[in-house]
Amino acid sequence: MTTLPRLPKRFRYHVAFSYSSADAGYVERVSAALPEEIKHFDYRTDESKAETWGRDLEKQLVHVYKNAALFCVVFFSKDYVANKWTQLERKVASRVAKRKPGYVLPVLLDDTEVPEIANLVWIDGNVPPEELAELIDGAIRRPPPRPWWFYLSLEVKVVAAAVLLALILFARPAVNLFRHSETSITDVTATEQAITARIKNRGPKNATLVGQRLKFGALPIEDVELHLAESATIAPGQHDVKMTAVHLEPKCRDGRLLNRAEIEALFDQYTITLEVDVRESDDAPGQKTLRTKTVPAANLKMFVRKWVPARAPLFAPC
Amino acid sequence: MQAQITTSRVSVLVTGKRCGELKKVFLVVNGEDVEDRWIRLESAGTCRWTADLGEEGSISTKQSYFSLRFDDFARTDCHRAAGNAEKLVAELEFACCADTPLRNLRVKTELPIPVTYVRDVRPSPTTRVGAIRCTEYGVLGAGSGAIAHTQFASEDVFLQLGNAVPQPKLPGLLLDDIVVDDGKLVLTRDGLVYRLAVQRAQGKSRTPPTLSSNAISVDSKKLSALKLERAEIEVLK
Repeated sequence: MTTLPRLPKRFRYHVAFSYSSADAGYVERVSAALPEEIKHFDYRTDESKAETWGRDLEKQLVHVYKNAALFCVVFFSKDYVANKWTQLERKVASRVAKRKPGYVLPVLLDDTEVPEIANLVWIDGNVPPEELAELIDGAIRRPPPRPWWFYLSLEVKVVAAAVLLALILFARPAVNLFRHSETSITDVTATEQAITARIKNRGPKNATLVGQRLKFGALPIEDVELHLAESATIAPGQHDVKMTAVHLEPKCRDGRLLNRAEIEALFDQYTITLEVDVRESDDAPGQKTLRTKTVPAANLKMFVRKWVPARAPLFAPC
Repeated sequence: MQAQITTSRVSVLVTGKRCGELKKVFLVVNGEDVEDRWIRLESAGTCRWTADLGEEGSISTKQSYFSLRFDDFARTDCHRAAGNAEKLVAELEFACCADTPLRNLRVKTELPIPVTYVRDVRPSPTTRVGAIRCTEYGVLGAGSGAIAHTQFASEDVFLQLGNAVPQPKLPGLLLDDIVVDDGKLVLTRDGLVYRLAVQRAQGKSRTPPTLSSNAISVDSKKLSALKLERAEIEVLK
């Protein structure tokens, strides 16, 4: 006889019996014939009674027939299909069997028609209880089907495990060698002294800012290159990058240069675009990607106000 | 480190033998030659001067241009400033002082009409670097006002009769030729038309030389419409 496989921790029983009390005589003989080492759930035993005493019966039954046993032997009979509680057990067991084929081991004690076992192999109730006990014992001891890798030699398994471990440890860094960073500008704000761009680097490498400029579009101000206040390196993650300028040059409009007050009056109508040239990887120094973010001009009002001259020459060549 | 900057701080270095004698130095910004727009500089050591134009007076070193007025004896040509991006200061250097006569003029019209003037200032030949040709302008009070610190050797001063706003691209009456040092020059309406016609014929009115009778008629009509009887131009000092 093969040894009884160890009961997995999450199960309490090898097998649970679902039957009607009218069929208790037959089931008790099956129980008695089972080897002692096989743990089985039978609601009529003292142990089961002690466990369920005072508890919600419905919840308890659902728990046992859903989670607690490796197999469920269902003794179908005329009384079984008529009883409210056994129908609950039957329903729970059938549901489990849908995702765990072979969970329900059906025994048909009389000629009751049970549609759900029409396509299953079932045991006739004429079988002596002792023989049924042996069949249940065999089903529990039968080893589960093994996957193909179970038949590989130990050496091959060790090598495979080592390769798998190496892949886990080194695959990501190796892939990262060929992946660049991926940056985007998520927000642009401003104080008097600096434009702050919130730059997101989705990694894995550091990105480098190699050029940055404000483009004013239809606002009558010349586009301007910005200087970085701090480092040009953008590590993976989200960073606030400060950029500065010390001069904004008004453009001519209607044959003359506008002063600060005249330009400010236009802020609500226009947008400003921050353009950033990003080198996404130090491995490809020649390549740069243009990232842009357009915001309402009013968002950058403080900065623009500071660096647009308040006095514009009346007779500047336009 | 030189760069284009926006700033309200100006630092001025005056070179030349007489720079130590200067007591009052005024800065004219962007050609705004109106005394209440002049900026009085503060001494920052020998021959060095500074000014803070204030937040609302900030200028661009690329676009703005400057000239100086020294006490009552000289003016300078126009310069652009060099931007000091570290100190955020516009730095200027001028030479003091051209040895040519300086005149303060008083202009009066009857009946009182709006009068403006435009000064076409040439770079001084003695200036080493940074000087530019520039236009300065001012508005006289209704019927009467002064044009200070004129130096005809280095600038052309045009009077624009009937203009409330200076129009530097339009011709005007060139004062350099007609001002007399002793006494007062009085020009009737016809005299003014005649002077304007002569200057146009000589090509001194910012136009090619022309004897256009049509232009004479236009001048005459315009001055009649203004009800201008006469204009007086006097050298104060």
